Amino acid sequence: MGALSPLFFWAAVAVGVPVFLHLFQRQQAHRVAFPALRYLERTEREHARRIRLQQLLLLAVRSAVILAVVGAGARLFVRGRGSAHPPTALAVVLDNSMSSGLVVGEARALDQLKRLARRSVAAASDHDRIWVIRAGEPWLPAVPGGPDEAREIVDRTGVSATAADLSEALARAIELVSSAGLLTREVHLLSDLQASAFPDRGTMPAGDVPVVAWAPRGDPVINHALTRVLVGGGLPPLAGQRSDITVDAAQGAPGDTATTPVRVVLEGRVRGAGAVAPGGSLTLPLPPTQAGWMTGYADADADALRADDRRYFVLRARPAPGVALAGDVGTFVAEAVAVLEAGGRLRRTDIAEANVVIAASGEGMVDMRAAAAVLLLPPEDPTLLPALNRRLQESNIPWRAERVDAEGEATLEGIAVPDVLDGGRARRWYRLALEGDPSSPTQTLAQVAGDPWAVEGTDRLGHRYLLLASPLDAASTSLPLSSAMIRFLDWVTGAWAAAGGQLAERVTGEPLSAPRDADAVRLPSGTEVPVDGTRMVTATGEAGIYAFLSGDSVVAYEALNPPPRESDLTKLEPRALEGAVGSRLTRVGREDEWGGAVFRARQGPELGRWLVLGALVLLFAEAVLAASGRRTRRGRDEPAAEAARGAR
Amino acid sequence: MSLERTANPGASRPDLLDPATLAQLGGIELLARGVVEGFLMGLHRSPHRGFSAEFAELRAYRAGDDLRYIDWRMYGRSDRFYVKQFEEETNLRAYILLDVSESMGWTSSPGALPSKLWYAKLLAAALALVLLRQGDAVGMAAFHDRIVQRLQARGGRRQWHEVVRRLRPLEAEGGTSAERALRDLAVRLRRRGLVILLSDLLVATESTRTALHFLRHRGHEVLVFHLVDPGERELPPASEARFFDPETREELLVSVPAIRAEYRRAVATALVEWERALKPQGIDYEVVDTDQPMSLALRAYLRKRERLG
Repeated sequence: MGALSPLFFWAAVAVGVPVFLHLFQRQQAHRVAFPALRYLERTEREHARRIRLQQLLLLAVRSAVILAVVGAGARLFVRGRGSAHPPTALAVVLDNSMSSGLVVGEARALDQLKRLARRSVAAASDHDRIWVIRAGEPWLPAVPGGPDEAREIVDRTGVSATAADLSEALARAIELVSSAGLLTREVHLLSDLQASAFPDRGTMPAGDVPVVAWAPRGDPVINHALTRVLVGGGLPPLAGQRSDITVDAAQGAPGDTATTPVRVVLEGRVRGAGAVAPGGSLTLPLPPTQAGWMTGYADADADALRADDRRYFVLRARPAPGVALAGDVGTFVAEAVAVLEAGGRLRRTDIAEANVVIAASGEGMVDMRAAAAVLLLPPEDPTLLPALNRRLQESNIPWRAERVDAEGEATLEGIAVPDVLDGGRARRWYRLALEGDPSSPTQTLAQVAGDPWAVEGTDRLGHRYLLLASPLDAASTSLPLSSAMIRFLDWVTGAWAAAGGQLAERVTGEPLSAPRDADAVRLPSGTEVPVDGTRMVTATGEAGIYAFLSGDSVVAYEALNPPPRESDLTKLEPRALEGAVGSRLTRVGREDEWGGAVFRARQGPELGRWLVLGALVLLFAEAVLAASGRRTRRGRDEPAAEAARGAR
Repeated sequence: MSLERTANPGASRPDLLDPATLAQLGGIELLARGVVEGFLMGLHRSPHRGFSAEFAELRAYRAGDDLRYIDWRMYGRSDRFYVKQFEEETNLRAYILLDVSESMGWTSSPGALPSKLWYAKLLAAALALVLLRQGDAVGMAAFHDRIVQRLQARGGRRQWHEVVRRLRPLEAEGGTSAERALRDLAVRLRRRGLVILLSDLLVATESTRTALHFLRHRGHEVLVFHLVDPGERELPPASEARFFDPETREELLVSVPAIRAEYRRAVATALVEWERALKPQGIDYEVVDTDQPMSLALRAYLRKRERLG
């Protein structure tokens, strides 16, 4: 039972009138002199029960008349499967995330969801307020409107390349419908119910608001997806140097071992191809390139979900880093640097222009440029340790090197040991000890016999530093006499020094920060959008290359790819759905049942006509009851009347 | 308006006038005389006219009349048969008991309908006149909780004036203890006679009946006129009312519509019960509605009187 005009229920207090009259007004009845009171007493005594019953019946009938009229005024209706419903605040959560582009049979999942959304809208009335929340594009505002506006939004909705957070979308829907000021609220959840779309399971974000969810049964779909593309291990390649690209494939269904053919396209040309097994990786070489921006993608054969079969990447080939040697770094280091310089992996520069400074005993640190990194090597002669410690203190580096009497040989170890140091051994080292509280975090990359051997951090000027406990000579470590020496210094001058500029993979939906000189952004679809005052681009639902423009020139590129979790099409367990949605969940598994399931507060026909008719019948009954004392009951009264006449 | 000058046809028969009209015509003495004379005039056409030794009047012969009373002289003169009628002779002593309790002063339509007491006083005067004209001795007593007026039974024309004089100042007051008055009277009446009780019988029922039986047991003929106001038969048109007894001051809150029919039946039943309680004991009982002409009550008396011979 429901009411279209519930405020009219306030009129139900009028029921108190007959009750008041029945209970209190009788006490104020006017007094009548009546000598034949004994006859009245006798009548009351003999008929008290019937009279009380009649009065209670009258009270009940009069109250029922008032309630019937109030019910008619409040426009009562029976909840049921009728065509009308009370004014409702409705939020349609339409999941247009990447997975909604899944093609099953001949139909795309989103098309089916949109069809259901149109049915919801068609069942709505002009008295409803409707929000369409596109879960795959959470940055879009949800504006309340009527059925026409909602239908237009549904028609315009396309597949986004983002992942949906349905927990957040439901919470947003509840907030919106609660703000509408309407008594009846409802949420329609139209989604493929991916498990990964419910990060907050068990929290019931919809609470006790009725939610009608599309939850069809179906077989799991096998999806071959590319989940990651990594160029040069995450480092921009050096200009003129070869690099490589690694493509990761998503975990397949159990028993799925089919490999996926993969092509790598760079600047419009296919640069490599291979096959990758589910859950596996494929690394392909990239040819040397000129310095500057380059765009490309890795492409797999199309399957049911096309959107995650291609992943985009951008790279900016950088020139070889400038390296300077400060102080006596030793023969082995100087020779290794010369080899790397000859191979084009670095170039020798002055300290002031160097990207990386290799400093013996901390020399030259004061002359480094702001963005430079430094490799600090301890001296071979322990008497020079105070000089190193003094320079460490001047740079506000909290480590101090202390002489260790014990000698031996130990393997470099530790959870953060770089690959290039794996298997290395130390024979002589200083003890690195922390002094005071470090102003910035430090990390121990390698240990030897329980003592720190390689530590890193940032000094007071923002320089990254890597401090070793041993000088790089043959007497102290095994590195100088192995090929690892070249790889270690290449790692230090390349990967380690450039760690701050590593290529981070971005996913769709993630806001992009516009470069300082960009005034517009060209979206993957080709649409150019001016950069506003926030300098942020939030409409990042498309996967592809975003180009930041300054006039006609491109100043930067960003590649956005679908979140890897969106490729996992595993559905939420049916028993977990209620906890992930709300306590008043209605599941609909068949499309033809949707129209009848939505609008849970839907009313059957209004009861007004019946209530008015009922009130009239009750009034008639009241009149009969009230007049029963006035009527002449010939059959019952006449004998006594005849007898009374006979007594004359 | 006077009785003699009225143009109303009923004015020649005041006994047939309704009490409301009658009350506007004059005082008790005049009205009672008018009622009685009208009533007796009507009796000429009554087949129940009594016979006695003293000639009263002639009337046309009807089949079934006793041939001994045919007036042959009139037959000789007019060639029509007339029978002679005679006034009865009696030495009956009649006592009229008048209830003057407060309930008797009540009327359901003040200004339109006279009270039961007014009706009772007029009826008492009329009865006294009829009795005295028949040569009977008439006495009276008025009572409520006690006897407030008493007149010894005597005959003669002056007695009626005395009766009327005693009746005139009586007002309704006090409660009703009919039993005490009746028993008191029964003790005082040494000779058997006719006792006429005029009351609304809103009394202690059982004790009053016992007292009436006692009178009957002492050899008196008893005639009870139960005066009923029409407003006592039917509850007033009201939804809720608090009714109170002017005598006892008791109150009762009543939903009139809910109880109306039952009350009507209760009144009818009460009247029947009075009749059933009195008639088997040889006590005549007559319900007199105070909106009905007085002749009805007088006829009842007459029936009683005929049985007494």
